[in-house]
Amino acid sequence: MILILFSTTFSYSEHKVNTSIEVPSPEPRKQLIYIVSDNRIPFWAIMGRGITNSASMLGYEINIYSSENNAKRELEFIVKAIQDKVSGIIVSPTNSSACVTILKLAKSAGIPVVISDVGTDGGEYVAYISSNNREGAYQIGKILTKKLFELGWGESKIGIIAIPQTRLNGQARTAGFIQAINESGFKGVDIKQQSTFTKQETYNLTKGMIIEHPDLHAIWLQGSNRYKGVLQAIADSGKKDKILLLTFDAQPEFPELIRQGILLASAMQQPYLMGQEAVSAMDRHLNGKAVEKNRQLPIIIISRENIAQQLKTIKRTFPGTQETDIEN
Amino acid sequence: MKTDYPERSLYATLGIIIISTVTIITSIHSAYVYIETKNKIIQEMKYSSKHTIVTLQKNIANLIASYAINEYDKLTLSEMNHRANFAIIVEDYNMGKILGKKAYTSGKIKADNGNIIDYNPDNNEQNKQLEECYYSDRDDITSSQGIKLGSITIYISDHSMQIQLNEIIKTTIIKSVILSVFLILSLFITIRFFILQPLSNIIGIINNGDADGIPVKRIPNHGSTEIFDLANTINHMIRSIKDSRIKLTEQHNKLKVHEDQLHRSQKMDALGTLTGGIAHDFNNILGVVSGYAELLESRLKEQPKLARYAHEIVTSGERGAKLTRKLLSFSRNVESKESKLNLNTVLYEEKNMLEKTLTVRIKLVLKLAEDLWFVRLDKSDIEDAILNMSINAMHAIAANGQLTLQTHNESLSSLNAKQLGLEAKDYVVLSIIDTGCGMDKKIREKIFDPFFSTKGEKGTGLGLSQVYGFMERSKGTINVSSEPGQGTQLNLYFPRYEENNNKILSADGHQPTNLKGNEAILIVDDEPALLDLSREILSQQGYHVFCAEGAKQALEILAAQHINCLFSDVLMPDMDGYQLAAIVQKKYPYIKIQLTSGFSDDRHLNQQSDTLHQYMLYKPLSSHSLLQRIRTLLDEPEDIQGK
Ligand SMILES: Nc1ncnc2c1ncn2[C@@H]1O[C@H](COP(=O)(O)OP(=O)(O)OP(=O)(O)O)[C@@H](O)[C@H]1O
Ligand SMILES: [Mg+2]
Repeated sequence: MILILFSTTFSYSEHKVNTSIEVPSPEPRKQLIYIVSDNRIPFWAIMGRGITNSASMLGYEINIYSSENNAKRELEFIVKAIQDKVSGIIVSPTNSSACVTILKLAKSAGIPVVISDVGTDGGEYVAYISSNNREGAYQIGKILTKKLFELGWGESKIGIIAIPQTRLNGQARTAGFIQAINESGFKGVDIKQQSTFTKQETYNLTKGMIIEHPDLHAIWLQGSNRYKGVLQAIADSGKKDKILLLTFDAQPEFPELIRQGILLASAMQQPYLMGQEAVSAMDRHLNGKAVEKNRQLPIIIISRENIAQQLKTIKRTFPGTQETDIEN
Repeated sequence: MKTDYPERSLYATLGIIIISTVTIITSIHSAYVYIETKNKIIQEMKYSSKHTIVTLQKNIANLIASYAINEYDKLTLSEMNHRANFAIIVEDYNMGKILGKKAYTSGKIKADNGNIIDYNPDNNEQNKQLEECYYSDRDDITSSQGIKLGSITIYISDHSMQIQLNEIIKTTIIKSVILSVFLILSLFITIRFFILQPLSNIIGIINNGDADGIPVKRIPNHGSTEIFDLANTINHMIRSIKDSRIKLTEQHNKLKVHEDQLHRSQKMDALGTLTGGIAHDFNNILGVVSGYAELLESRLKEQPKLARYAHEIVTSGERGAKLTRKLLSFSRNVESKESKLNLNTVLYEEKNMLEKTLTVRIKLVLKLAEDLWFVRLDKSDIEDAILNMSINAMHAIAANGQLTLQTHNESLSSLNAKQLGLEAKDYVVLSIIDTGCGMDKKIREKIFDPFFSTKGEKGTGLGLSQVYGFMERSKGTINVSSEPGQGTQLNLYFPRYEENNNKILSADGHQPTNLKGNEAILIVDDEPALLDLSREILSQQGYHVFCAEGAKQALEILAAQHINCLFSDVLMPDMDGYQLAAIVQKKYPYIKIQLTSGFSDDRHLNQQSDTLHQYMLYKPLSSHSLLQRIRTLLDEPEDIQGK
């Protein structure tokens, strides 16, 4: 559900350049495979570009298979990869549980695996590349509390509409946000979890919270899709200027919403960079070098204050992307 | 059969019994628990596996359908964690298809260290363990449309069961040991304090016995019922033993007394027979000597000098006769003239004479009981006896002293009577008590023997023998108690006089003065000298005297001659005087009969001859008494005799 904003045009251009370079090799080139949960989603597509770019630069043949959120297809790709005796597998699994099976099968075939985002519930892998969700959520929390004090809502209640807390990234985001809130002396926090991810569900959760807590002045949506459900509920409750909204991950219209003050702030991961890091880790492993097992990449925070500076980057990151939800 | 050693201790026996009992009981109990537990575990296992399969089947079906391999892997892991399965193996046909196999096999298995690890189908070790599993249950996994998606197999090992069962065995052993130790301890304590302690107390008391080994103390009866009963029983036994001993001692003493009495009477009888025999012969000789001397004296009236010689012979004869009478008196062979007497009266009469005899150095004290019963005695005998014993006392008292004569009535119990060798009836007791030198046992035992004397030439040793004979005749007894330096007490027991015994025929009747007669008298005696003497005495007075030396001759004479009076000796060789008298009384009832004897012997006493015995003349006869008796007899009316 995220539109990936690349931090550097540099890396993007490098990627472009490297894929076009033909590296002559006396031996057949080592083959890597990237199995992605759904390449139709921009976040993964951008990550795929980062991977392709980096693999080409390092002289690997790279194939990208999109499971399209289908566990069976994902498994079929893994089996195929094993049958093809690829040198390494980079995976953004459909979920962390399915990843365990992938790791198991790969292990039995002796193929190294690098996980790029989502994570795994277990098993052996070379490296896990992820965003520093906790840190991002912490900064979002800081921006919120600062704003609440500015507005004189120091005693305010804060609501969280959370993604499922069974997900590792969900837990990290909550922990980081709560830490910031606590450091600023706020105590009244209410958490409600999404499960169906429909607009109606989000609307209902928000409305319930507003009714339950009259002193509610802030809502943090841990994802970014269905933000309209939140805005709708706030408007219907007649609290339009009384409740601040924050999100995590971005939508293309967010810069405009931030500028208008409808959205206070949001966080953006860096999929291109993550893809590059995944290939780099695999390469190091295949060359027998030490690899940092859990690599966390920083998250970019955009708010009214820094939107002008980040805009260039954001805009460069968005060309060709749809205004659809991007799920990660 | 015989056991010289005690068998093993009570403790050991009970210990063995307890240990075996506890072991058997706990073993049975444990076997039961073992089987029960085993069955329960098996039941649980089956239930558990069924339950596992049922819970997993549906979930896994969905997960297989959605290719969520890790999810059903997690499910099996959690199921493994929650239930005591050895392994859960899942066959996934969907995944199998992807892999180009029939099924993708995965699952969880319990490692040797108890950790749950992944099942690897290629691991032979694991496969072997699965084969060895105690129980397994396999079920198909089907989708809701009924398509077979795979299978699930639950394996249960008996390893955990074995551990549990071993635990049961272990706890059983521990329980048995603890229970045994506890029971043994409590039993030991119980036995020690409630059985062995009281028993050893009882043994202690029983061992503390007197010279005969009979326990001195009673066993205190307290404690448990059984010990109480035991104590009572033993006490009862001890009491019985003690009683028996008393009886035994009594009987022993009685026997001893009887034995002594028997011994003494045998001795006295023998002595009596001996002295009686000698005295009898001696008496006859003396009779002849004295008789002829008397005849001689009466014929020599004109020659005073010769007459005096003859008189000397008569006097000496009389002294000799006196001596033999003493001897005969001991051997009871004397004529006695018994009469109803009061001993107190006799003692009063004797008092003066005794005081004179004893002189002033010895004080005479009479302690006479009032209402003293009468006795039947020969007065002169009792007087002699008192004198004899008083003189002995006088001899025994060296300087000054006291002689006490004491009388009292005594009804002898059968026990006392037996000890005295008497019948149990009323007695009058005369005690002669002196403060003299006393006697030791050796002397005491011989004092009644004739001729026993410690006085040498001065004593004849016949004094107490005479008293003894007198007591025998009186159907009484005499006993002595004396210790050296303690004085002497002699007790004389006389039977109380009984009224129905009062037919005393006094010998002192009318004494005829005319001794002459002319009747025909037949004298029978086997002693020719005495025969001659009697004939001489009687014929001098005018009687017609016939003589026979035996019964046979006498009967011949009686058949030929008219005889008025038969004068016969009792002791004769072929037929005795009583037998002869009987014949004569039958054949010639008019003939008066007079018997004579050297012994006062009761052997021939019977109804018929009672009167004959009563008027018996005892040898040696004085001519005067013979003549007087014959005259009296002849003068009596006829019907007195033979009644
Ligand atoms: N009262 C007494 N005290 C001590 N000894 C006695 C007593 N009476 C008798 N004796 C002893 O018994 C013996 C026998 O006594 P017993 O009267 O039979 O004979 P005796 O006195 O010696 O001689 P006898 O009486 O014939 O002159 C005596 O020698 C004397 O040793
Ligand atoms: Mg004497």
